[in-house]
Amino acid sequence: MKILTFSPTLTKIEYTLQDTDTDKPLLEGTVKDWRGSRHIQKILKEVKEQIIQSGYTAEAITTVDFAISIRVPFGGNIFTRTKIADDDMMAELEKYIPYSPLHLPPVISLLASVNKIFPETAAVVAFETSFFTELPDREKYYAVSPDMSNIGLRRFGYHGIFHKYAYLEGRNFSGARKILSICLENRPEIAAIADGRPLMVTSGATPLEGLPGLTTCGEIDPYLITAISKGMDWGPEEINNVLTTKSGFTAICGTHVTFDDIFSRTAPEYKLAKDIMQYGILKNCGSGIAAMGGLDLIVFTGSCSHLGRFIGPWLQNKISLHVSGGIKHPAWLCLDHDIHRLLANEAMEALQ
Amino acid sequence: MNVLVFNCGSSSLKYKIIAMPGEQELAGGAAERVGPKTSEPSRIVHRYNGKTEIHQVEMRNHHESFLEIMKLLSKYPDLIPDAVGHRVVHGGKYFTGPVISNDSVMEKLEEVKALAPLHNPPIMELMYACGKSYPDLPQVPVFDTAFHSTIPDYAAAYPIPPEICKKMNIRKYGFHGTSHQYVVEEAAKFLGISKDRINAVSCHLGSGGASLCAVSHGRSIDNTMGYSPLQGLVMSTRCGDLDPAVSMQLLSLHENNNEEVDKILNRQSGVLGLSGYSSDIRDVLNSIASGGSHDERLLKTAEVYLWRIKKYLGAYLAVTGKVDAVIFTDTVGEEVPFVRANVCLDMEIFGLVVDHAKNNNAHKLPVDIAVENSPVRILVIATNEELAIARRTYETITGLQIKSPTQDLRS
Repeated sequence: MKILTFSPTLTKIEYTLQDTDTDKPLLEGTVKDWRGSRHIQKILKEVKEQIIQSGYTAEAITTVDFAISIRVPFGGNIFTRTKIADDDMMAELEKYIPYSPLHLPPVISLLASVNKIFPETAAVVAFETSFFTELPDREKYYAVSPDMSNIGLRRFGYHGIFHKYAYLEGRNFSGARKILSICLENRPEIAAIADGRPLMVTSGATPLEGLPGLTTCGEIDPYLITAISKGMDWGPEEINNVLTTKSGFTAICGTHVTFDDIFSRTAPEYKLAKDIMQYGILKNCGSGIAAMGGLDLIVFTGSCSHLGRFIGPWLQNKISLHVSGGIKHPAWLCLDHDIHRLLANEAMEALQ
Repeated sequence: MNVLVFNCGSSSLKYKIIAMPGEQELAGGAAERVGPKTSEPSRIVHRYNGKTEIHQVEMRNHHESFLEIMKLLSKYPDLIPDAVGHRVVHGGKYFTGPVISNDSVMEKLEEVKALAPLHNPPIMELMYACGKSYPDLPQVPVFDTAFHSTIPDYAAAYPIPPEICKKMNIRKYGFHGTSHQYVVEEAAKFLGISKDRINAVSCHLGSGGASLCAVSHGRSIDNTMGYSPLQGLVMSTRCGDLDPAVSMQLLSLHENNNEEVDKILNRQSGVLGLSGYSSDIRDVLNSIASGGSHDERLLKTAEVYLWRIKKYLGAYLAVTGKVDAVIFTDTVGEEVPFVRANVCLDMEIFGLVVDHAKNNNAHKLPVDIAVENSPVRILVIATNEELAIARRTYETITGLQIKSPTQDLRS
């Protein structure tokens, strides 16, 4: 089966054509500054043209052997699994725009454009938040007035597709039931998953909370928002801009960095960045183990999952588990599927 | 040496006279309703020789309450202080330990005053009053933040642009340090470990504020509170951890009114915000126990409150490594067995196993409530911040260390 996958972010959209029988994509591309419905339709037409030029007829794209899979960052409480896109879904997504005002409008435009340019091709939508709709109340809610919870304030995870994959592969690998899934993307995220159910996740009402990212601050003292507002005489927009685009490891290192830079360079600021990252991971692993009452396996996924080969042994050395017969150190596993491969898997599962 | 210890609140001034190094509490009390007139007159409640006396006297500010307390103490020859120890909430970046106060210390305290706008100014008012009226009486500020000055940079740094951090002195300061240090030292004594070798997680669970502290070799390596006492656990009216995007959304909703957002997060959230019933978790738990378990809001409050403690307990057990003890202290930590049992439930993987009979009968403190073969001890220890301040004051003035009566039995 051939699956055209789309992974949009605020600044770019990546696409691939996956063949479920082979490991490598048949074609792939990235378009920056992709938002705006006319622009999206133009991009989709070009993608369609590329597919046809690579040997598929326009008719082949409409068969049951061809599908489209789109990653959507936020689906609220209502989208609990990957679903085939239809008018009802579009209407529901429109309702969720206030909760994800930056990400959802362009995604809705993308879905509408897909329907227009590929009208007879089945399209499925994989929501990053679906995996976390059933978080326990104790983890889901903040200690604020229920007025705020009633308007939808709750914790989600934002790399649910990777975490689900980590759980399934971890279970297949060793029969593990209690898994710490460490997703090493630009905004890293840890989830504790017991018997397929997430019990803890580091992100919050938005992906800003939790571990620091390449440009995002992660968890900070909530008082810092008003303190910075007063101290710097800034409004929420300026603070948001700084905390989402100029913070995280970029702020620590004083320049734009990658996670590979942090783990390979030895200058003091890079050493501090690495220490902050590893410490944050260790601390949250401890919370995850408390949530599950145990740990069978640590699984690394995401575009930087290869760094698990450094972080895994470090965690193994740091974490001591009391089991009958003495102390045990946890096993770890690195998985290398990228998001597009997982989107293809999600489409297969939803269509079946 | 008689050390007069002051613990200054916004409208109260608690004091104790402790004879050091014997650690004998000679007298204590509190000036209450200090400040503008209230429905009841201001007064000093004074305890001495097993008797409690109440002196009604007008005290418009902490300066006046200090003078009244000194006047009262002067009537008792054995209560004349040789030194004064002050609990100071925030020492900012300058103070990593107690110091003898002088002009330079006061200048530095003026610089960091804005970091604790509610707590530091009345303490400083008191210190100025003391210096003016009793210039020969040495004063030692003991800082709640000092114990946490050993938190390593990788745990204390907030990953936001350095120019903002520098301008506003932003880092994790941590709080409740005097209490954490005290109970950790007491735990070391109890377990027969030298205080610079003990590894522990200290749970200071007050009925108002609360924090956990990870301790390695007797030194703080992390604290759940941060730049301010708002971060971390769910507290009586403070929200604890919150997505920064939510704080920004609130700021936007309230048209950049910082005071309103601070009020919501500091005074209307936490146990009170969640339950809508009481700001005291004991009321919530008692109500559930006495038949309110059908009230979903109360149940949710208890679940969120308890889980946040357990979540951080797991985190700090992981970062501390080989832990000797988990310590519970302060009002909720000392008095509510259900909280201790709940946060230690299913934590065998970390070596914690509670003996429920011991836990339910933990009245005479300190006490170990772990089962005999629990790899990690679980201790309930009464905090005594005033004694801790007296110890630090005595050590600072004499240069002598208060010696632990026990040897390290592990070596």
